[in-house]
Amino acid sequence: MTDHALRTKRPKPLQRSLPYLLTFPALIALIGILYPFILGVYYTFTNYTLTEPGNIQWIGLTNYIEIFKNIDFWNAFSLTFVFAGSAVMIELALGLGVALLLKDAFPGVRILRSFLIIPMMIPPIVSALMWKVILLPTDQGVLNHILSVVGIQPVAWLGDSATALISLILIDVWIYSPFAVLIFLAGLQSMPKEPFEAAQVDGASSWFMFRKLTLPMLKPGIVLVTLFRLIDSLKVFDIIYATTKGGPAGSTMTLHIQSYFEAIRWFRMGRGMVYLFVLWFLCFIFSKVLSRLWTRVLVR
Amino acid sequence: MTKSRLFQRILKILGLGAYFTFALGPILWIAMMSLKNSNDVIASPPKFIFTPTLENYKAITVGQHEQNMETVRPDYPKYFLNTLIIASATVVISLLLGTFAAYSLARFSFRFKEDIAFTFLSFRFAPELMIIFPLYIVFQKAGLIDSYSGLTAAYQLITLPFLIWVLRGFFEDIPREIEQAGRVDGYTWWGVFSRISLPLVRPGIAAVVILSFIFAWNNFIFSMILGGERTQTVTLGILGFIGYERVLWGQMAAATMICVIPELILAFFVQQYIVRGLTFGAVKG
Repeated sequence: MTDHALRTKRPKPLQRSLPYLLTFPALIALIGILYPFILGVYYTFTNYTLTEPGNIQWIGLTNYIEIFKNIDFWNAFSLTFVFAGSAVMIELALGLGVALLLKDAFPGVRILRSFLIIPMMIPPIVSALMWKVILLPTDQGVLNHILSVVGIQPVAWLGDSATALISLILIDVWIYSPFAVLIFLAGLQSMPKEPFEAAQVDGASSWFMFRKLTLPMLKPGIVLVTLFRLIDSLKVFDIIYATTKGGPAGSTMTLHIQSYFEAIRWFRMGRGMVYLFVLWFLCFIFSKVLSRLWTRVLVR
Repeated sequence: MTKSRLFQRILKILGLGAYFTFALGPILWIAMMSLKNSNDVIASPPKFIFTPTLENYKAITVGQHEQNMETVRPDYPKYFLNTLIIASATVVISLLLGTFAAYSLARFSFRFKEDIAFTFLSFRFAPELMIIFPLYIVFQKAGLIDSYSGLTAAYQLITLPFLIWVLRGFFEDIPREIEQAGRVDGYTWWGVFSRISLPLVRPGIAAVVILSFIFAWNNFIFSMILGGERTQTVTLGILGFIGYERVLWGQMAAATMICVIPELILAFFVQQYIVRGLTFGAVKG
């Protein structure tokens, strides 16, 4: 009798372990990911060289000290931030502008909105190759050809260390600005109408309404775009690999690309992993800060 | 219409015109390039008017032997098939592993739940090579380099966190009352899951399947490091047209079109879920 009463109160063992059982297969996969990650962190403290895989020695912080003393690292470090910072800011501004233009219904707006997904669904490496063709130096490139019509001299774009990074930012903006547009569009369309109507009755200017109503209500979207775009541009790889591979003269050598050169081209796996660990740490910090900010904005 | 309204409208049309020329122009240019013959494609200045030919498509699919021209990349169909195999297998495995995990994270409360969920998410924000390089060494020892099973396992990193997070959101959208009603009717959790919840998230499953397929399809860095001659994928194949020894713009353009058109068609079917997918379920639209 008492036994029976107890059993109905407490969940059955199977039911208690059910959530774990269901998550278990995915957890195994998770461990499969965590293991290489930890192995990678271990390699940062070793002299692991791809040409001598049998001879791994613990060398403590030597890799870190050497790399932090090296000007190449700080070059890559600042290039990564210049690239990510500029790309994110342009994508936020352009995304907001285009979203505002696409907010209200007009004939053809649905088709234009669905066109937005095209650049995002193409493999980034392929998009970068497409742009490489368009940005060909001299008059062979179609962009230079179009610019020559308005009297602008041909630019070497990806081939010149002065313009290579700007060209890469342009490619990043091309691929990912639709992402910002779509998120801002979703935000703009879910806004309540009443505050805007009230402001209009009070005779507020549209600039005032944009600043005091639209922007504050768009905050979750802005944080979200920044979160995804900032992290993804900090760890940009594909579009640089397809176009400049870090050149010319190291002008597009970001941390992720540099790690590839260290580990694969120069066989120094230990050093390559240091670059990656630093990059991972940066991405981790920013994603933590931004996702916390995002949940706070949402709650309010 | 007042003068300023007219002015605004003109500005709007100009703005949208400029943006969409920028967004669609490159694709139209590549589509044009894919239809140019080998002389037109390298013409300087570039040609806007030319006689279209299917020669590039022919060269990369069935190959061609014209005069002294050899078949240059007849193995593009193989790359296409490789990608199809790897991406499909990846999505199927992710779906099997991830659906239950997503349901469990959405519906049950248990210890370490949020920690587990966030660990999955954190890999979305990690630089890929941080995992791929050590994985490369593990794969080398296990003999998994350039194997379909190895790549499918590694690709889980792309699709599994995505699938779990987005699908979790879809399961959370189901009102709890519906599931409770099922329990009252005497269904076990499995009955509730398979007869009530799963059919309700069918559109969500379709969306994550298509999107994770596209993400797997589009991947480059995994197959570059962990793949090889046997398992080469389309993204690597397309890059192969532009090398130090040869630059085959026309064939590259045709290969791009063949790679991209099927996935664009797929993407248009799940358009309404794309924002939700790309933000890992954060924006529900």
